[in-house]
Amino acid sequence: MNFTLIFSIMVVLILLFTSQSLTVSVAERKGYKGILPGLIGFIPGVGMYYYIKIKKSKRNIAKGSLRHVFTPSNIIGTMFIYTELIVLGFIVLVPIVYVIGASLNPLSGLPRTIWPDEPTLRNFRFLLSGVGEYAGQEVTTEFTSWYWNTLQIAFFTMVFAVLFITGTAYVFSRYKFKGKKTGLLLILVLQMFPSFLALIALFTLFHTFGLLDQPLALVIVYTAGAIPFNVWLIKGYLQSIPKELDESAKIDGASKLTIFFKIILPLSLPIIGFVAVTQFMAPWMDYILPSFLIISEENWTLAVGIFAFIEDQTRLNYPAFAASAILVAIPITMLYIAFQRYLIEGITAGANKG
Amino acid sequence: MLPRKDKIIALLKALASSVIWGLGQLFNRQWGKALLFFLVFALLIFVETTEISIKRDAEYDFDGFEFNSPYTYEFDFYDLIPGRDMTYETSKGHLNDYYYRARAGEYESIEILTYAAKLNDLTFDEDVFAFLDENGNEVQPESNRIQFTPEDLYTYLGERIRYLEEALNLEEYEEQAHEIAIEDVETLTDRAYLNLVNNAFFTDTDAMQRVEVKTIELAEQALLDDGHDPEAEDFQQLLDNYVEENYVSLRQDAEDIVFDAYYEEMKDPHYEQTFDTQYRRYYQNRFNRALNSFYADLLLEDDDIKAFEVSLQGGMGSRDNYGNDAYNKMLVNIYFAYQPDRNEYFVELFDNTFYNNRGFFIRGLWGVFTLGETPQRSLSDHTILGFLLPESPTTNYEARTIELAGHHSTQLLLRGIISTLLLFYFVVIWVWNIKDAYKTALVIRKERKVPSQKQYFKDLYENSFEYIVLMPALFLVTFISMMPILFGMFVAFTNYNAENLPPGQLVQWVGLDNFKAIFTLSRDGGMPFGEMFFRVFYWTIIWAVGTTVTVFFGGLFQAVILNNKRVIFRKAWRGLLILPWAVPALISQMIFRVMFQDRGYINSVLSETIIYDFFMKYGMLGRSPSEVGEGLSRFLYFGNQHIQWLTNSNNPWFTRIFLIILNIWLGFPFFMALMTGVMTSINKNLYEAASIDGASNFQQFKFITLPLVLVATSPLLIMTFAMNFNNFGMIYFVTGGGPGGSFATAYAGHTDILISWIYKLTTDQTIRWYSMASVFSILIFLIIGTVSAWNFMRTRAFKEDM
Repeated sequence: MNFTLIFSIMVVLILLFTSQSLTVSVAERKGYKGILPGLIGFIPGVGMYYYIKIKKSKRNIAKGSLRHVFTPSNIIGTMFIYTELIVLGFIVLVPIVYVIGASLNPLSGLPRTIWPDEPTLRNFRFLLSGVGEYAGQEVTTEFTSWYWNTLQIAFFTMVFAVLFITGTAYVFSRYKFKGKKTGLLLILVLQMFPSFLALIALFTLFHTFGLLDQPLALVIVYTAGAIPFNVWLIKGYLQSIPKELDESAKIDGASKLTIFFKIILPLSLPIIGFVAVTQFMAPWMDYILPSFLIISEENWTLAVGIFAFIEDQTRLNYPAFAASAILVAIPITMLYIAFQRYLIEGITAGANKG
Repeated sequence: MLPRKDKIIALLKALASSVIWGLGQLFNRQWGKALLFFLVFALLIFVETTEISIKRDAEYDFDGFEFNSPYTYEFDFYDLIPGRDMTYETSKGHLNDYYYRARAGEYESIEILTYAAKLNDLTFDEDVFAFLDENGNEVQPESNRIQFTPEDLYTYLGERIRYLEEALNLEEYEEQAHEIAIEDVETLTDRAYLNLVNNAFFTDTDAMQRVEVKTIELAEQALLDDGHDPEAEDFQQLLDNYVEENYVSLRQDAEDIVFDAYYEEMKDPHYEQTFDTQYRRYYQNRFNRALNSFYADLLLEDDDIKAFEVSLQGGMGSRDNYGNDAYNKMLVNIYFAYQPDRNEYFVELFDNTFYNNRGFFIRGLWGVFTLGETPQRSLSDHTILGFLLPESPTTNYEARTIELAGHHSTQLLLRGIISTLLLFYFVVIWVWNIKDAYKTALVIRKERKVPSQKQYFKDLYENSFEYIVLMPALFLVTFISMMPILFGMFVAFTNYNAENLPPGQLVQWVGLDNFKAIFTLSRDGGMPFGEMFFRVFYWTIIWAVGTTVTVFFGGLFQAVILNNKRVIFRKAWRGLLILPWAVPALISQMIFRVMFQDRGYINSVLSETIIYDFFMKYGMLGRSPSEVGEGLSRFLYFGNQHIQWLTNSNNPWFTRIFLIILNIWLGFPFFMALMTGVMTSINKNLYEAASIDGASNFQQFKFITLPLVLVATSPLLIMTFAMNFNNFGMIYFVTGGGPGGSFATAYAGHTDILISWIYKLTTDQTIRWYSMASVFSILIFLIIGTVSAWNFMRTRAFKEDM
């Protein structure tokens, strides 16, 4: 990749964005707001001329006000901000573009360019069909099985976790009973243990019950593991729902179950949605459990399978790694972007525990 | 105030309930409750005394359940040996087969006895079933048969019989007998070899062709010898006639000549080998027959022996049906019949009342306390007998060493924990039952009537809603979270590691030895765990603090930039910069691993730029590690030919610091997103008021933005610290803990943090140092637990509930 070219592109971008920003602040001062000035500002020179000379001001402005925009300190400040943003955007994008380029790479071995000379889709074809060629040898993969396994695990984990957690949290948040404090403290302590401590015992337990090498058996572990943290989370949320609501329902003769389904559940849907999304995504990210409890290749999950592409000397296949990384990242990234507000709020709520 | 008498009666009822649950309730005339508690009590007794196992039919398919009680189980050593018990099935299931083969065996026995008699200058009379000397006198038939037959065995089996001798303590035999026997074997050998070549010869079409040719040649020779002229016209006619007349004798001679040559040819190694196997099978069959008769009279008492006999008589079909395990089991049975003291030794080892005759709970508790008493033992003595078994055409049978499963320490521990947890639930009900008996008794004395049970059960149902809802989660948490964690914690106090792995070895409780080893810096298994712990711990703290601080302030800085009013299309920029958070961390980490390889993409880009030249110029690159001095030049040593981002073993701090920097990429967007959210929600009036008061932009930031952002986000700092402390992925997927990490450093690499080190110690099949991994987990828990607990105690949720 030509370094000077990149450098010049960045300089051009910085200048372009700076002029756009200056144009918009001129437009703002003249009373124009919204997307349009921003878009027009992208036209170098012309956009700025348009707003300074042609457009009439919508409101009265002081004479020196426009000049204020073009003070050296303002221009340099704007340039500094855009330099930072563009360099950072570049740093953010490089690994992402690199992995896309690598996934289209027709060559075997470690991709050393950001974009291949002859892009091809054969790596994706290899993953989806299960057979392909790498370094002159025929290779096979169980990628589709990994995907299916992970999807199933994620789905069932989501369903069971939500079922178990909401019920438990409801009881903890609304009723007083013997052992409540002990229970709450217990799950609080439990979540502080590193999960590795449980690995050996889980292995023996799975072995005893013949659950080793069964992808769906992981659902049990994920569900149990999700309970402590999320019960606290939802409990905190439910406590913010006024108790008067269920008390009045109780007077009207509603049973505990009715109160839960008719009042509490509809009101707590946002947090339940958060738990559902995080629980759906957790199995995609987990490497430790499946790498320890799943043995045969066709039963692996995506995390284990993808890592094998770059780590396992017998399965080494960098372009396939890149292609599978993209196939995994796309749905998860989209979920994150779609739910980002809830996710960030949820995590904050988790830190504050209600 | 109740009279003392009432209290004593109530106490007595409680006592009755504590012994037999529900008995006190019975005295209180509360039948429903009595029944309820008694049922729970019965369940407890049932679980303790009954073992449920799956019954399988002949095809090994599920065929219902079997209920056995360990309390009535009589220890049978042979149950420990894997494989089906052939004795029963051979003598019962295959009765017909057995009789058929026994009849066949009788005939073969007599044949071998006749032969044995001949070797000893005796004769064997079938009618009297006895050996006779030259004068026709009976020669102590029983003892002689016993003596001669082994002699036969010795003769025919050479090496093999020596094992047998050792096994069965046979006496030495006279030399003369041996010599005779050996001679006999030699003649037999020749004959057998001749036989073999003979068979090969007459089935060899090529050889037959040669015989045909030779026949003609012989005839020609004969005619020439008679003075006939080979050039004459009628010679061919003469030859044909001659061959026709003398074909049989000619052919015979030709065969002899060709066969002699063939015999010589056959002495090549390949045929020798073929011969060897044929020969061996031949004599093995003879041996088997001999053995059969030898055993027939000595041992036919026992079912096992009968089974053995059946197999020796060629019951190969049945052996193939049963498999080697079953045969091994049978051999052990036979062997121990002859070596009772060996048998006793093993029985004593494995006959453990607590293990064999106690049920779920008692055995569980015993297991937790002892971790087992009998290690796995190898049983190999019986392999001697394996030499006696005939080879089967389909199974190449070899007697094998049997591993007698001892007590499996970790399984005992696990079961012990499970049973203890279950027992805990029973104890809760037990206490409830006792309390109820006492309280109700007092009420009865006071109110002179039995309280209504209907109301009691109705209340119980009303109040049990919470417990019913909690039950599934409670069950899951108890057995999938709590039980494994308890197990993991207990392991820290044992020596469960590669040197003591069940089922081969027993694991022992070692108290605080593992903790002592760390804090006194002594070695465990030759590895410096103590020293390495402090090195790794030091780095873990730096890592956790470093990543948290960089990510937090990186996010803050970026949020401030994004929030600047000069930034147009803020949402688009935010969307771009949040990508690293949205892309699954695991994927990004793996991408880093690929990009930052020594010969990876980043280095190939940088090597074309002046940056590489700059590094080369100042010796940060391009020098061999030995040329680099200590101090700053070492600290700025990036690698030899390439920048060793992830593998710089000569300057591990370079890799470590680089990891912290790399982590910013992953971590800053979350804080950025969070803080821009907080900043936009700050009331604009605050800033207006401030600017009216003449506050500069920086002052506004310092006194308005920063405090509000910090208040909203500081609880997350502790959580981020805890998460980074255990940030397994960033270490494991990017560097794998490297560079470094061998036996000499207890497998701790330079970038390993505690959690990734634990993962290695636990999952790497070549390391498996569970005890230390568990110790470290407990230490992590203490650290993270303290920090989180402190953090948590300040929160609203805690203050409300506790």
